[in-house]
Amino acid sequence: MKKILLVLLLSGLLYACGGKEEDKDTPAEEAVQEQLDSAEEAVEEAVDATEEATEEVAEKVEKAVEKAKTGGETTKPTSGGWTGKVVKMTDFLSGNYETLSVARVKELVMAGQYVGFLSNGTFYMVYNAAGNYDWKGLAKVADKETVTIEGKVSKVNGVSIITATNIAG
Amino acid sequence: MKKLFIAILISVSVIGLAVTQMDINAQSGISGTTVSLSSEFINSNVSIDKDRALELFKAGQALAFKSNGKIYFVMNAAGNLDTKNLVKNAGGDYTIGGSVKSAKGFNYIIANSYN
Repeated sequence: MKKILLVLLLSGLLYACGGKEEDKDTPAEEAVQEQLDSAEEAVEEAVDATEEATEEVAEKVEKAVEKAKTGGETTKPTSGGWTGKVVKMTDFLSGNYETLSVARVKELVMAGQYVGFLSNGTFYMVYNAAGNYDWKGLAKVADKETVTIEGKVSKVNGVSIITATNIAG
Repeated sequence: MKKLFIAILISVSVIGLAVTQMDINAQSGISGTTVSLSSEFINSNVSIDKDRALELFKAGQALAFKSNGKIYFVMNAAGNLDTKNLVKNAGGDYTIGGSVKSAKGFNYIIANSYN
């Protein structure tokens, strides 16, 4: 809107002065010319500011869309590994975390209750290179406070997964 | 005006992001099939029958419910995963009645009926 107003103002001033070269040296014309210059500068500043703001917003929107798609995690393979903890899936949803052990994880999985890896607020189902749910690998480190998993993180049909190459507690 | 424009765009972005993260009680029933998560992850899209579902269940391999290309974990009213009913209904399309939710990056259903 500001841009439009400035353009209208500029057009009005141009029309008012008539664009005649012979009147250029009169004091009134000089004043008009100053106003024109000021108006042009203001328009340029407004255009620059708008372009910068648009780029900034576009960047933020792109980041937000990427975060929404991936749950905030990268889909690239990791080199250093992800740190986190083994948790029961339903505990992740409720926020009340049960202390786990090797035996407890086996008991849970055999009852159809899955465990996964919680890292940076994201719950991952963990799979091995053969494409099987690696609950046994998770069970071995279930009692550890900090677990590191190396592998590839991805998201499939809304589920975050890690295809693990190494699980260490 | 510029500030207003930026504020509107940022607000729309934030609201959009928030909607993806919030609990959504989307519908009361949803149709789909039981799937093996392993198969889904390798894009094999192999349908599983009841025997195969039972075999996977006994091996501790994860099962889920797939509807319109989206994977859901299914829970019962007590808050436990209802894997046994996924096994029981495997092998064809069926409808789960209950609350469809999306939270913490998860899509899940709190089931109260299977048809």
